[in-house]
Amino acid sequence: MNIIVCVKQVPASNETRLDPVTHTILRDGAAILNPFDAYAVEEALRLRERLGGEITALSMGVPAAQSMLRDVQALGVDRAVLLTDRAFAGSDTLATATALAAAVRHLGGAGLILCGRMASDGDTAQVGPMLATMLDLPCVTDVAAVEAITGHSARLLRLTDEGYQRVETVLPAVLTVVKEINVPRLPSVAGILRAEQLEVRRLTAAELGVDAAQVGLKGSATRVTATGRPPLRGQCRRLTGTLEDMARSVARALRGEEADSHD
Amino acid sequence: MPLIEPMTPALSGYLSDESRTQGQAEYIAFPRSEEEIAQVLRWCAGHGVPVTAQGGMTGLAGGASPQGGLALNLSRMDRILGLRRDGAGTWFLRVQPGVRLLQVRKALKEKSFQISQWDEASVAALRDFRPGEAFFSPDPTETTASIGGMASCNASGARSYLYGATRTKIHALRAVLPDGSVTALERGVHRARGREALLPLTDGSTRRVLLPEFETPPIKDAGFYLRRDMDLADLFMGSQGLFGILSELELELTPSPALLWGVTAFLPDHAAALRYVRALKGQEGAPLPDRPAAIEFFDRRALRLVEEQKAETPAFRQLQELPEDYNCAVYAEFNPREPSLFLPTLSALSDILRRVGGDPERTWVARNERELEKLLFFRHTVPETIDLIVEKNRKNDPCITILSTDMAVDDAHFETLFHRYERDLDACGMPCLLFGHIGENHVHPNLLARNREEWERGHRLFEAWAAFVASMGGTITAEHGAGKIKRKLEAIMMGPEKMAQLWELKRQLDPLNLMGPGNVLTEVEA
Ligand SMILES: Cc1cc2nc3c(=O)[nH]c(=O)nc-3n(C[C@H](O)[C@H](O)[C@H](O)COP(=O)(O)OP(=O)(O)OC[C@H]3O[C@@H](n4cnc5c(N)ncnc54)[C@H](O)[C@@H]3O)c2cc1C
Repeated sequence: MNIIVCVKQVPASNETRLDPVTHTILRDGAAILNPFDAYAVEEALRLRERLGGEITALSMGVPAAQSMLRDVQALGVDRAVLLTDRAFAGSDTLATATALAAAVRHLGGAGLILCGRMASDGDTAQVGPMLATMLDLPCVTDVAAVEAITGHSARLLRLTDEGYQRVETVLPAVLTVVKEINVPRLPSVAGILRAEQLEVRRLTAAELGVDAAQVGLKGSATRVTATGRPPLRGQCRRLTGTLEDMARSVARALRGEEADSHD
Repeated sequence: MPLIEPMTPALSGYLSDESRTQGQAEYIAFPRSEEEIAQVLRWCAGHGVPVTAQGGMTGLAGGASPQGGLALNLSRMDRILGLRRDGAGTWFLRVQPGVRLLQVRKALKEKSFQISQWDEASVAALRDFRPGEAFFSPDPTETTASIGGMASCNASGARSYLYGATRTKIHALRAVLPDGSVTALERGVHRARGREALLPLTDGSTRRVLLPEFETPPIKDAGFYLRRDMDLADLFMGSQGLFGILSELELELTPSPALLWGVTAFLPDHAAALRYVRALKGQEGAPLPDRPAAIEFFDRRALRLVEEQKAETPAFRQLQELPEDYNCAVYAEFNPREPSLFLPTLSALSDILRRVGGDPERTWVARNERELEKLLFFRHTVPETIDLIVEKNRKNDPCITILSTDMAVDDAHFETLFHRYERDLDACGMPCLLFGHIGENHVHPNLLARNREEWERGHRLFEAWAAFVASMGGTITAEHGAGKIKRKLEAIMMGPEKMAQLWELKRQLDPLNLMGPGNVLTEVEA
């Protein structure tokens, strides 16, 4: 069974810090494979070991994302495709899914399309389901285990807020995976040296045959009008008094009773 | 609050270090300045009260567990005092002794310093410092260790293969001597002449000390450092608070590497692992394009132990999965100054692995710091698992403690020692494992005694190894220091003659014999 894994390059950290002398922002420009996507890649490798077939890693991003795709190839992915074009710049989730869907069609489809649960920079978890909708495929999100799989159907375990849900789906399908699903491997010495010999294939909007108005900023349905900080929900209360008083207050709070308001 | 407080049950946490050696004390002091250290020491000298220095209390040899008298706890002297750069472009960081390794690391990496009390020169120097451009290389794993404690144990870690132990990175220091006087020593400036050491005191006078006749071996060693013409600062390195209290240290920083990467290679047997290590060290075949920063070994028992623990410890679940039929593993880390060294080094490793009977497919490569954390996590789970098992075994018999050694010898004798460990571990009849800093000829055999009989047998084995290591000119403690729990091994290694000379050295610096009672030295017949 052939598998396409969608991967994204994201900033390594969302933190910002200030220089103590000049008070300017210190930036750490490192970019990494989106953490959830590493689990999708690993699951693809494991499924290939069980079922055979080929794996293609697919990404939309800046030309520099090529190095991330090479890293993915070092893990044993057979092919890597990078959608890179000025026309894609500024894409929101809708425009991204549009480009990825076009690429999946361009590549002739696959038995299974795997995505990470969400990207660590946007935290939307929208691209996987949108991609499925555009390709008219079933989508199972938050997959924690692929229990059984044949060429036509798969039995999956989904992680939900309440527990696990067992789901069966026909294939092809789009799955998004959570971290419970596996432990991503590290590449081997041999794998990295092999990947050096492989090409990362680049595709432009024109080569995919997508309408430039459907992707990038123009194709995006989202407009960011403002950004803000969500209100803090947690409440920190400082307890004082003897150890016993404090323990009693904690116990009351845990029971949901009104705790003494020390301090 | 008075400087010297009586010891109370609420402070009992200050009676034992990470080795869980239970100590006792009548007094405790938390000085905030060099002057306060001097006040405490003068009071102790006046009242004949022994003094045990305490840093982060992470030591594994009981050095910071007091044996009566006063616990001098330096944890409140935890400020970073200043920064400078010399003409050659090397950065130096001045710190108080109680500052923790993790504070130093974070401050340098993020360029976040509390500079309100810095002098102008330091603030000016900081302006030119780029976050993370230099780091303090000693790495004893436990980052809550204090810099003063690390210097006093000459702590080292995996990367000391490339960078050297703590000693080499302490450029200058100030120490308060037992009578309250202060000496300030700078590497390269204040040196012994032959065996004669003249310690300059801050009041303008000098203290003359005659060094022992013998020299310590030129290998990785957490104990005393004694050489003719030595840098006087080194007298305090590895000296475990026996000669004075370090009150300020200037750390030489190392330019940060452009890349951190590493490889764990699984090998079919110990012979292949030893050949691989020789090749990594450039002792066999062409040297690698980049010198490794660390070379670590794990035997099959160590790997299996972690694998078994995985089922029980949820935190270990994200550990990499071991290949089937593993035997042993060697981890090599590289810290190149040039990222372009990565591929040539990797392909050289591939060739070496094939040559020694390994397999480039059966490897884990971490290509950057983030991935490296996975390999380091794996490495750290070995001692953590040992801790968990020892805790469990203690429930059978409270006498049981960790039985681990940190002996080292030179290159020429290492494989002889390694084979001795192999033989003795195979025959010891109790759970055991072998892992550690093989690059520096320094692996840790660990015995997991399940009862008193095994624990005592383990101790006898250690004593036999100590004599064996001493006969090859090695050390019984390459990284943790003799402290209290390895005194017997220290005595075996030194023998009565050298031990008497060490006492003579101590008498000259600490005539009342108040510093570090019970640490390192053992009584010898006069
Ligand atoms: C999980 C774990 C792993 C470890 N791994 C390593 C390792 O790989 N390599 C290694 O080398 N160590 C290792 N250690 C041991 C420990 O971290 C080091 O020995 C460390 O250097 C001790 O620092 P500390 O501040 O905790 O010293 P303490 O334990 O507080 O003191 C150590 C000794 O130094 C003396 N001392 C402390 N401060 C001063 C001072 N200012 N002046 C004079 N004497 C002083 C004390 O009296 C004592 O004898 C490990 C410890 C743990 C818990």
